[in-house]
Amino acid sequence: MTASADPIAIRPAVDAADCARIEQLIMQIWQRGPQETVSKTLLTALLHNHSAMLLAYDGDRPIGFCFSFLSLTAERRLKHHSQMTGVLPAYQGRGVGERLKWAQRDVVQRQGIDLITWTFDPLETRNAWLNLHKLGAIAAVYYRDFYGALDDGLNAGLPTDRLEAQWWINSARVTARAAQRETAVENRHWSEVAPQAADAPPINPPDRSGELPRPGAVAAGAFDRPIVLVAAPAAIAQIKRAEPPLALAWRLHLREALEQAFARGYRAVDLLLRPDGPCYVLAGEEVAVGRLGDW
Amino acid sequence: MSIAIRAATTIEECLAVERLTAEIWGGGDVAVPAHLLITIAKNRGVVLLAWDDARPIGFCFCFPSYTAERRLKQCSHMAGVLPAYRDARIGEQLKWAQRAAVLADQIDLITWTFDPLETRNSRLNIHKLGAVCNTYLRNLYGDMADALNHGVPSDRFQVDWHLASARVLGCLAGDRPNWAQTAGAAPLLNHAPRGHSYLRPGAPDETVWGAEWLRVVVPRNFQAIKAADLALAVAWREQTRDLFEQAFARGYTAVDLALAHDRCAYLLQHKWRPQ
Repeated sequence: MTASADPIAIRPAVDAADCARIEQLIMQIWQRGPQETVSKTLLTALLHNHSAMLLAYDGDRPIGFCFSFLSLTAERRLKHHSQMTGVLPAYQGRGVGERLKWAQRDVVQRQGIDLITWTFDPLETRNAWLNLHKLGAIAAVYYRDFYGALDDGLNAGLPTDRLEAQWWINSARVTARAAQRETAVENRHWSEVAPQAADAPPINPPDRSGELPRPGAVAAGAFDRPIVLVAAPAAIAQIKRAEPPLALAWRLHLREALEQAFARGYRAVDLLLRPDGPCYVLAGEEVAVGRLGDW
Repeated sequence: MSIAIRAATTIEECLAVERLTAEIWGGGDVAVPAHLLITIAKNRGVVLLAWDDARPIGFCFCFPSYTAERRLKQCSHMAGVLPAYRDARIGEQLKWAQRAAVLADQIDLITWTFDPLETRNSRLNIHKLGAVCNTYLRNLYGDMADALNHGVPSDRFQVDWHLASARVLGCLAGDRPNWAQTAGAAPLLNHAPRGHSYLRPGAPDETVWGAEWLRVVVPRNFQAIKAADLALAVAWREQTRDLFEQAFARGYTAVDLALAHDRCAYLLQHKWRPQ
């Protein structure tokens, strides 16, 4: 779909009225009450303090948003931490979230800041696909139970482990993706870049004999190659509904595999959608991610 | 009563802050979800909780930002204390703890906003803590639904708290310069005639611009005026908006608030600089 045919427009939030629109969207998207949203006063304060805050509109109707706030890296460089991105259910699956993120990049670039971070659940591979594959973020930090127990349906019963997405927005890797997104290479396969790695077995081959995939063990000597794959389940929502203990087993298994990999200097640089299920692509320290612009 | 102030770092503590906001303000335009607080706490913001033994009774939080000159600062968004503890100076203790935490992260400026007609807040922010103001924000939040703000444009002072300045160190040591004595006779930019049940703004005096010290009269009981006479409250907003905007544009800074029995006066100093 070209930009001119898409009725959805992305615009920066500019005032308290826009913040009130986001306050309402949060309630609609997550079905929260007025006490559980983010107040327009806090959003306004964030906006006055350089938040990269954007709204998506269908005509005059606000249908999606994202916002960030400023933070500092360990080296005391300014970065943005992106707190929330949401799209009304009727508009999900149309790339609105992705467009919001690219617009967020534009705002942050204009501030002369080159890093945006946010967190996402490694079991939600749909988000990993957007964050790592489409946007070109990388992940090298694993947070156990980041939010503590969240009682919101989506997370009920599982520790809220999160990966930190680091989006180096001026890197060759991200710049290449920004250029390519207009050309609609929707399912550009990672194996075009490194086929020998993409066809390798994951270091944790799942047991796929049953209806739902079960986590396998991390193979001995798994980290003997510069690029390794870590298998993840495709439909975590279905697993949570059908067999909650299995969802927990996947949580603990991925925690172990990813923590081990990060401790050895690997970074998650992509998500592969293979016929047998999604796999995280982990690149060791010797792989220069920044130069592999095609990733 | 045994009060302690500690950083909130867990989701349980952030949920306690979330509950305090609802308890203190009773809903409307104040929602701060715990998930946002904990992310702020993990991203170089500072979330503080005041405890009376095991009971959370107050909080404040700030997040990183930068000035127009791109100097790092923290923006403090909220500070609140349960009504039963309001006279125990816990709000002030929270702010001093916030100062210490921010200084420990090598940042020496905190800004926040408040309504200049809420003189109880000015007294704390400017007189006791030593923050100063030369930034006036018109109708910052648009129309606000809550009881405190309804009906009057949400204009705000944005105060600068220069954490390492001599002024603030003096306030911390209880060694506050007696600004009221220094400037008590300073010319008034506006007069408020006596003899009304609620203080009414009189005519501004445009002839006094240029003096080193100036004063702006404001009412002491803005909420009571709002409740009794909304048009009068709006008139105060409009006159003080005009005077503060002019004063700040002419290089004045609000450095203190003096109290009289039926009124207050902001003291403005020309070309004030932090030391």
